Amino acid sequence: MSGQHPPKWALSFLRWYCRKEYLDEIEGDLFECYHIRSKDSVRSAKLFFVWNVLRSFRLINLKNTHLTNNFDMFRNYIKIGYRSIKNDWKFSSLNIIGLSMGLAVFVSILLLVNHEMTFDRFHTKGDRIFQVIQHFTNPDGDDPEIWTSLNLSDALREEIPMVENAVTVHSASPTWFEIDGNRFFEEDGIVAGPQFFDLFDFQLLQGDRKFALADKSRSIVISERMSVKLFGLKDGVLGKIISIERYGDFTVSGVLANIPPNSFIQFDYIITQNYDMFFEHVAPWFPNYFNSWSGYPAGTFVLLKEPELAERFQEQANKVLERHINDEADINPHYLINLYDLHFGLVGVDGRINEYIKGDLKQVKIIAVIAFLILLMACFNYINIATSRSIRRFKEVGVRKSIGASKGQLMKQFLIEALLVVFISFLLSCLWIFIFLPYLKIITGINLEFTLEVLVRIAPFVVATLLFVTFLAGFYPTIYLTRFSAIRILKNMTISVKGSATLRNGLVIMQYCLVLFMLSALFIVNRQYSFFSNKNLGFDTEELVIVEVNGGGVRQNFKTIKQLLLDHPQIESVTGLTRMISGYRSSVAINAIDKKDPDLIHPMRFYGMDKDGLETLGLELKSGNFFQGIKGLDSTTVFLNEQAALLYGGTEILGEPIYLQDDEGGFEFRGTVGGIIKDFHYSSLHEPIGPVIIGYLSNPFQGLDDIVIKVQDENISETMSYIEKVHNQFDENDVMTWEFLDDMVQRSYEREATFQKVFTIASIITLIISLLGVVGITAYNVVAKTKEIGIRKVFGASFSQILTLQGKSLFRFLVFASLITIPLVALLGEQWLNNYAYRVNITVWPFLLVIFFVFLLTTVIVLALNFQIAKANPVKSIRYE
Amino acid sequence: MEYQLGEFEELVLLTVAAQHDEAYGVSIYEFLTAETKKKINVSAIHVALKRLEKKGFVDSRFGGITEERGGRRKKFYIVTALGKKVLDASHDLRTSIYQKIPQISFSSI
Repeated sequence: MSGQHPPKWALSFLRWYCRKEYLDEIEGDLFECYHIRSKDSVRSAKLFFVWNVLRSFRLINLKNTHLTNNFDMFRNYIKIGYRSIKNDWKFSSLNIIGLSMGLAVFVSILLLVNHEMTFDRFHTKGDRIFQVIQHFTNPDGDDPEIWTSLNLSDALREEIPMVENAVTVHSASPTWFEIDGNRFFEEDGIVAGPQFFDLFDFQLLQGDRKFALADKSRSIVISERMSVKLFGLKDGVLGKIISIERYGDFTVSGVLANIPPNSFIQFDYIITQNYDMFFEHVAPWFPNYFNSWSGYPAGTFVLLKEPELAERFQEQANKVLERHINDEADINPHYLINLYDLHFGLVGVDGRINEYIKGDLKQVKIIAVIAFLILLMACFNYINIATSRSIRRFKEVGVRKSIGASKGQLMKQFLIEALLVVFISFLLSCLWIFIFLPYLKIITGINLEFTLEVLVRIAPFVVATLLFVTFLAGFYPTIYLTRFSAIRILKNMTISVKGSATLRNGLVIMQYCLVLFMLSALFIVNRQYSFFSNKNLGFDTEELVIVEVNGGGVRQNFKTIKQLLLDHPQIESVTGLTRMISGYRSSVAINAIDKKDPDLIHPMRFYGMDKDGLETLGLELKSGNFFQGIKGLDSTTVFLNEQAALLYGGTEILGEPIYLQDDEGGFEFRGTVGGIIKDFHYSSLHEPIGPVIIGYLSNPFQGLDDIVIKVQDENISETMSYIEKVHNQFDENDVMTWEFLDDMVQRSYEREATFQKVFTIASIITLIISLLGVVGITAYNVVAKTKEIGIRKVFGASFSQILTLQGKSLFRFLVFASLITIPLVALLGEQWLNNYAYRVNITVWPFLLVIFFVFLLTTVIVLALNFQIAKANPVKSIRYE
Repeated sequence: MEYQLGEFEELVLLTVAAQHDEAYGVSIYEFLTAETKKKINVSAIHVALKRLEKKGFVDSRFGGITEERGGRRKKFYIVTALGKKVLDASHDLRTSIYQKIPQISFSSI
């Protein structure tokens, strides 16, 4: 025999797992095989030996350890657990429904958090990719924006050594696509430099990552979804020509997998940077702005060599800018935000590449806390019901103990039983999630998926949650059940359950607290929201249609359009505005200056409108006269709101001249104050009203941007199609974008609306779970006190006395919970409301109403569950058991 | 037939019978790989042997220690009367079905 031996570790592994009685045979045979093989090659013999050892690792060969016994016990636990669930199905279903709802809420939140936290994580170079932020400073304060010069990416790539790559990305104008005579309106496109795929990992299904967006080409890369939409095909669209209005003809050079919803950049297609046609047809003046260092039309992403180098970027970028920009005053600091941080980190930074759902870390946190509280309540229910039902299990515990079960084994048994309940609840909760996920999508606006794939991804968290819930819910009942000695249990079967009463009572109080908290918080959120929705804003919001002006045709022919619109019988009045007054879009900021005192500057908002503006919008004139319809006179007349007039001593300013300057301090404009307009909420109700100047539609600050049309209620759709027809006569390129004013105003309160929805759902679930808890505890009291009630009845207790007796402790808990919760809600509510400039006050009524409501429900439950026993013949209840 | 016998089990049982009193893991392994020209794993043979023994088709005894076996004993298998009966029944079944094949010339197909 040669000196070579089979691998030692494999041998010890074999000896470790193999049964003693088989070891001789198997080890001997494997050795012999090794011996035969090693004559050819020792290496292959060794490999073969290891392979054989692994292959012999079969159930039939495994050592017979105590493992099998454990397994049998485990099976027994599950069987007994299953039986106890079945026998006690009323209480078990209370448990399971409550837990499943808690779990459903929690797992949905896991889905949400998973979605929010994995934003852009699919980009493998993401830790080195950064977005360049340009930090502007204007009179209003700091104004960081994502917009940079188009030339920046090339300059950064070539002139800063630590920048490995850089790319320019900006959104494409919404426009028409034409393929073989079919026209499609496409909104979500981006224009990107050739380096796009070098930085980002968006999956290209067809086409070449290197050349799909090659420089100077006229190429378009479309998403799979769009490919199906445009061509009806998933494959074979490469090389086809799409004619894009404003941009020209483009060849399809790639097809992308659909963009994941958790991508910061959202788009349906990418076109290469090729602006010639765009400039020629749409905006001949554009190149000067677009291609210069002083225009900021594009976002810039850089790929650094090392993530840590980001700190040094600002200083180096500044040097690059100094080389290219002559005037130092035009140089703004440029710094970086990491791609992974963009989703949450862009709060306060202006500009987005296409619409995408804003990340709000605070909101995610609040929702997560609420979900956790709901889960906690469900656990309390389990603890409550399990301990109160424990009397049924004591006999079993006693018998098991006297046979020789150790405390640890019993604990294992009851924890496994809890796990069983939790697992069943989890299956049920999956059903809940399937049913209710679409609603979560409506609330959060996030397209959450609940597929097996997602479930696998969040599986560790789900398993951790289930184990946590099992432990939390099962731990106390387990301790409680297993603590008595066998003799005590078997000798006198009646073990007082008093010890657990304190805990149970505490849990019921906590549940009441949570319910009261959620319901009264819902009340406050609701009141604030309806306050926002119904507050008189100082102008009409009904029956007004806002049409956005996108094309020069509409702007130049506004007078004709207005006349055409007024011809329609359903249209009452029409006005043109420089910017619609609403919180959704901000207006031009200007400064009112004082000729004598150059330091006295009043920053104001500026809105321009024509002579019908006052009437159409329903604004109220406090003093003076509105525009007269005489162009020469009107164009120099301005109106102040009350806040602005206050700065000038009220009505004294009437007829006086006022000097206005745009916020860059450019030209001056001299106007005469023609009147004072009552304050109106030009911005959302989150902000207080500031000084506003209303000038004429044709003014030096801003041109026509919105047309406001007052329509009558009947036949709205017919009226709208008429408006659209008129619009399209003057603007062929754009699809008319319009909105009812009340919808537009509501959009400022999306966050409150979301909050309201979240609280509504959370309170409903909390209410259900806690009511299940109350049902559980009441039902227990009924069983525990059957005899007592019988005896009391014999002694003449009335129906109502018995009910009071049974409900008394619950009502006491409710009062106690109210005393804790109300001050807390009042305090937190006050804090929350203080975020708003216009807010409701917290009164005592909502609280009383909520308490009464909960009281009522509790009473109904107590009544329903005690009805039978309180009515029953006492002889029956005394004989009970 | 009363007793269940898998295809691979039948092969192993046949080998045990053929190598009368001399059959053990490696010998069966070598014999079967040579006969069937297929890759067979020793552990599969071990499992088959254990199943056969459980069903009572084979019996076993321990043999001597050899150096190649790293000081481990051989486990020899021998076919039992029941095993022989099972093999006979299986053989009869196959033969009787085989003889029912009609005498057509298959060469043209």
